[in-house]
Amino acid sequence: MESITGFDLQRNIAGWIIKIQSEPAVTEADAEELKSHLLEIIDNLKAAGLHEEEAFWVASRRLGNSTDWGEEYRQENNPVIQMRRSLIILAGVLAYFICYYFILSTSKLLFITLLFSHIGGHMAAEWVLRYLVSWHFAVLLFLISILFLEKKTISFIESIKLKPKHTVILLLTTVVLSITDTCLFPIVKNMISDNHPLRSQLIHFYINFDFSFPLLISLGFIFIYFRYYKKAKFQ
Amino acid sequence: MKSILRELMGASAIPIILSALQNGDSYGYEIVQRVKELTNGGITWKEASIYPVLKKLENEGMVKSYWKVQTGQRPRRYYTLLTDGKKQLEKNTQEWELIQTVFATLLKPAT
Repeated sequence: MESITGFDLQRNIAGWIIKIQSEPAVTEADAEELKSHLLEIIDNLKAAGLHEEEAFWVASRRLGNSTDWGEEYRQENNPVIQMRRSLIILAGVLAYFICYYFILSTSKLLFITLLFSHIGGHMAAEWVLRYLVSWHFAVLLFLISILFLEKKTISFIESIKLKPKHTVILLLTTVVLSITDTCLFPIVKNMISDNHPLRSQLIHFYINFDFSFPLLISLGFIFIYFRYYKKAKFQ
Repeated sequence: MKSILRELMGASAIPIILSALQNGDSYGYEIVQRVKELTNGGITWKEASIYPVLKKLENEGMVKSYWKVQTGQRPRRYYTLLTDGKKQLEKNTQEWELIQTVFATLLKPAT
């Protein structure tokens, strides 16, 4: 509810909580505890006669910010921070496999759809090749954007508060996509007769993709790693 | 009133918190207020700093926390003193009594 001066206590408290929670070392439970403390101070100050707005500003000053207590929280929540980082790394690996199986299964679906639409086999294979190559460009663009939007990328990654259940969802998605890809492959093979050159052409596309896609990701990762290694060593 | 040395505040934080919890379960804000009242404002902690200390005590098995919601009140995280906490408090009490004895002896005018 807004007061006559336009001060919305709930909105300001919510903004304060968001700021607190942006500190990677502070867990959800810690933020709730600090919120409870803030509200206690506000209640006492209001009872002492202060206006809502004054009470909020005094209370938030009394509690301070992450520069005042962030380091202590980092020390005590270190196991939580390490687990969060491990989950982010695991999520990154799963994200790669999700991407990989998504591209493979959608390319097979594209091929099947094009054949059912009575587009010639060679044209369909060409479209599959274009689809796979365009994904390479998309990934390259993404890796380049990480280089130019460094700070935003880092603050985004640090703001991710991954829970184990999110990793389970990613794992299940990976499994579903890999099963879909595995099921689609014999369907695609059966749509092309055994000795047709299109079959070997398609298999070559996928073999090349199995090689080029992880290579692209690895090279991008190596480049980014050495860039940060150089920065960390010489700055 | 001259403010107490930062190092002394830091060293006394754990024994004071454990003593406050010895009298019954409490929550962060209540502990800070009680210490402020008992010392007439002589000891004023940075209010949010009590929570990492409480977390440290919980990680070391000296206290245990739980959320409690009383009717008509907001949820609060209470802390209860465990056996290891009581032992630590006994140890701290003996250490502070020793320091106090040394002070008292050294400050006694020579006869």
